[in-house]
Amino acid sequence: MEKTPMWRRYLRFFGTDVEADVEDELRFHLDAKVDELIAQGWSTETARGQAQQEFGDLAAVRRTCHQLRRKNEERKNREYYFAGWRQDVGYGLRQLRHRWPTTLLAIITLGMGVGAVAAVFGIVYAVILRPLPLPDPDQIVTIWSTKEGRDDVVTPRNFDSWRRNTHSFQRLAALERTTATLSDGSSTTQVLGGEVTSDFFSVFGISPALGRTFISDEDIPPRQHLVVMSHRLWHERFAEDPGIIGHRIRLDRESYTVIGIMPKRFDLRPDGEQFWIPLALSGQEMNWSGVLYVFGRLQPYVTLQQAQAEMNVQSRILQTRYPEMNRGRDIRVGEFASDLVGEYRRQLFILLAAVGSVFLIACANVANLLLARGTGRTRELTIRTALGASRSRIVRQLLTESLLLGIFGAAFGLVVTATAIHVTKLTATAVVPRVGEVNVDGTVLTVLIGLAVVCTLLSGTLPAIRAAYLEPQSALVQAERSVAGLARDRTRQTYIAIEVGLALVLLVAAGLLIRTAIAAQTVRPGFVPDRVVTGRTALPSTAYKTADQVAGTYERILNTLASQPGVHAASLTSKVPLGTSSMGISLKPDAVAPPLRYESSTELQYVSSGYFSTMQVPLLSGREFNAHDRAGSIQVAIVNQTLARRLWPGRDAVGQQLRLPELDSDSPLQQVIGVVADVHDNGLMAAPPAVLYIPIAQVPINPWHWTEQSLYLVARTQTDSLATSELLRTALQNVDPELPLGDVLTMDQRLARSVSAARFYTLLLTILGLCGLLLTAAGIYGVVAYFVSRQRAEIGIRMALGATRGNVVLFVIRQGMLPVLAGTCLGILASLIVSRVLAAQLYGVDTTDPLTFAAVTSTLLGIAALACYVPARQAAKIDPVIALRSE
Amino acid sequence: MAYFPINLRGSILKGQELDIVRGTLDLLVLKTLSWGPLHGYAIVSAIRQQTDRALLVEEGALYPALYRMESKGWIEAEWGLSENNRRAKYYRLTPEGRRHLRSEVKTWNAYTDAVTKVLQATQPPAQESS
Repeated sequence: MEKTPMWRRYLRFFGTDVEADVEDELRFHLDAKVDELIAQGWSTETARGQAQQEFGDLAAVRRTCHQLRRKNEERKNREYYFAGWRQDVGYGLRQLRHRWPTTLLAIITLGMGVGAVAAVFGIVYAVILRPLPLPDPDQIVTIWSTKEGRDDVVTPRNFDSWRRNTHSFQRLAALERTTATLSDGSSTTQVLGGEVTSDFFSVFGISPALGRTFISDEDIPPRQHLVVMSHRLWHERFAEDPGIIGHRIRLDRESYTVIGIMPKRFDLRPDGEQFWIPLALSGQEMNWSGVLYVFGRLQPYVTLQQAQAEMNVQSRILQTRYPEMNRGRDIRVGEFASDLVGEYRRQLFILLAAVGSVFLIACANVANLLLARGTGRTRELTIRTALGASRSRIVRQLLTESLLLGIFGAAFGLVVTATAIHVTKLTATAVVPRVGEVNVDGTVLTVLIGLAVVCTLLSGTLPAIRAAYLEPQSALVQAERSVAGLARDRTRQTYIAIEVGLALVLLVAAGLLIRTAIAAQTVRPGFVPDRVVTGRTALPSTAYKTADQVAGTYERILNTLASQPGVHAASLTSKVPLGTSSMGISLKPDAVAPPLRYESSTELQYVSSGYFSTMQVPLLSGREFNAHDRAGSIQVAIVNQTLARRLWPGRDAVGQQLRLPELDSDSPLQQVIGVVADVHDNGLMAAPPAVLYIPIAQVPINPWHWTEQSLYLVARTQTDSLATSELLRTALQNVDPELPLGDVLTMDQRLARSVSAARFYTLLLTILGLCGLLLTAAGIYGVVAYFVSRQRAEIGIRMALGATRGNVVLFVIRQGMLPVLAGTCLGILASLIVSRVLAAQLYGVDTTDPLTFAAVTSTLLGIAALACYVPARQAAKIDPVIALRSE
Repeated sequence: MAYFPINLRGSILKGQELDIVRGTLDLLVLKTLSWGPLHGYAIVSAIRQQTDRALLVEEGALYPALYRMESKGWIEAEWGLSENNRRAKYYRLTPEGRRHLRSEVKTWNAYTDAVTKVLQATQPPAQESS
């Protein structure tokens, strides 16, 4: 008993057989008892019986013991397992701290890659992928009447016909955008709203937050004076007063009863409608050209394709029934959610792809770092293997380290993401719909952490497995003598080639966009923006009924504005260049000689006398409008260069005649009196449209209706400080104190705003491209430096055998540049394919622009060569004697 | 652990021998192991010997008690060879077990002192004034 037992630890090595264990212990007890009794003189048989009797209920004890043992065993295993992890984590942390420069580099690289991806993913998710906050959003569609492949608004007649003759939709509703003057005693502003059919809200499946929406028959003429307000308008103008329901507000000097407030989630776009009134289409208005936006809710089980097929048939029927209205027009059924986001969809996906490339570059870098570290630790690991650590244990150890790295990287990435999203919200909320909804939420966090962990595990697994399968003996012998064997490492070179290829694609994309931006900078807008302020007003049709009244009032406004002190020149126009107003009219002029039926659309703009001199749009031939072009006098028109070239190629446009049948069915002949230079109306990067100008005094009443009788006031002042909204407001109030003023911006501001989204996008891609370039350079440097450190002996031998320093530098650079060159070739090929995706965002530059490709390739090669040269120089400084001795 | 004289382990009272109350058994085992590692049978023998056979440890009850104490971390078990070269499981007091033993001994002493005082009282208890 006193003898010290030999403590065997095999319990720890093999799992325990609980039952056998208990059995052994109890049997030992009984045997010992029997032995003792026999020693006291009992016979063998009786001793056994006595022993069992003294022991008690053997079966019950055994059962209890089994249970207890099993519980103990489970707990022990658990503790042991966790203790192992704790050990791994502790060891991993020490390792990371010990090699902190590499660790820091890996964390920053990873954090930047993961953070950027998560931020852009968050934006893409919020703007595109997240379903709209409406019931069954994928059933909601927008229906367009397309012309020449471009979406266009729908004529009331067509809408009516669709509503009666199609079966794919539960409901079809129409909205006509309108702008009304909201006056509430203290202030008068223009507010964007919509005239809607009564089932408009049920198409979106959304009920009001307060009150009610329209019921059927409320959209039948005469118009009922009822209004539903958006949450934004209610919040901004009525301080969310619930008592507003049932009260009257004044819109365009008529009073409307507020019947409902829509919930906040129905404010879908930053520039969306803020109130809705019933759309009452009278018989005459049925003949209007396109004014309606049409929305529908699909029948359950009807797909978008089926609806589109039905509308294709409709399109053909309508082309025969109303040919003048529908010639060359098709119908497109689009998903509401994607139409809402529009052009940003493609841009955001390109951005996501770009960010993904940066992420992959970061991954490759981290993988290279871990690989280099794994190889650097060969000795440590082989010793551990030799001491009995199992392969799985070593793999687990290395993966734990990778995982720790991933967690730190994710933490840093979170900072990057939060910053990026914050900045995006500050800059892009007014530009891109739904960006305000971006948040660092659960989805973004999951993506962030998931990517970081996946990245480190992926890049950590290869080195871990490689380390685990080292042959301890040979590795121990070779570890310090590795010359060519380990250094000629294909994996690393592959990573470098991939990184370079990705970086090249990114840089080409950024380069093309930068070229576009430069091209846009040099585009002359066609007008001189300095010191010009513009603002829009509208004459309510309740007070100003006839064309003469409207034109006369505008003439008074123009005269007042021109006589304001400091005003250099003033004029009026239905449309300002680079404006965001949707109140454009396009129509089809008929040239009299030769009588072409020209199908292409032309924008109609009516301007006052002096418009071209105010905006400083050059007059190429003929004359401007003047005070003699009045309602009764001969009908005149001015065309821009594009239209002149189109209608009368090779001939002088001045003196030609044309007709505008869409404007007025018995349209008089219009005499072209002048040709002006093109103006980039629709953005600097869009080709100037064909424009037909007519004088304000000669505009018939119909177009006035289409544009809400609104015009822009334009004033060029003598000094910058004068160009303000006050100037315009004073002029208006002198004529009629209740006239609204909205959309006041200087032309400089309009110019800046028209390029801001594209510039933001270009900036983002450029930053990403530079990130990619930087990360790639860091990666190349790391790998070449690593090569050098592993090849000290070889370099030493080369030098001892007579290689000059130049030879050594070339030797190292060649080693580094080979994968770079391979990557460059791949990258150029990939760019040629990928850049086509960008075509829509480019202006004035080809997708295969040789200059961009050459510039990007040489930059990349230059940086890569530099990244190789720095370690190469260090290699050249190796003293062969020391290098050979140290190995 | 509380020393209430209920929950008697084992059902057979044998003559003058006292059955061991649960909890008390733990205390005895811990105390016995404080001299050094022992296997289960040796523990029973040692207790019997040291109490001059006054206390009967019901042998079957010992093992569940040992396992419980092992799971509480008071003792550790390891297989070894017994004095006559049989495979036996040896139990040893852990530092935590030693601490526990000390505090339990203190509690036990306080308890028995209190009981002794009552049992040796020569006068009826005085009326408590409220």
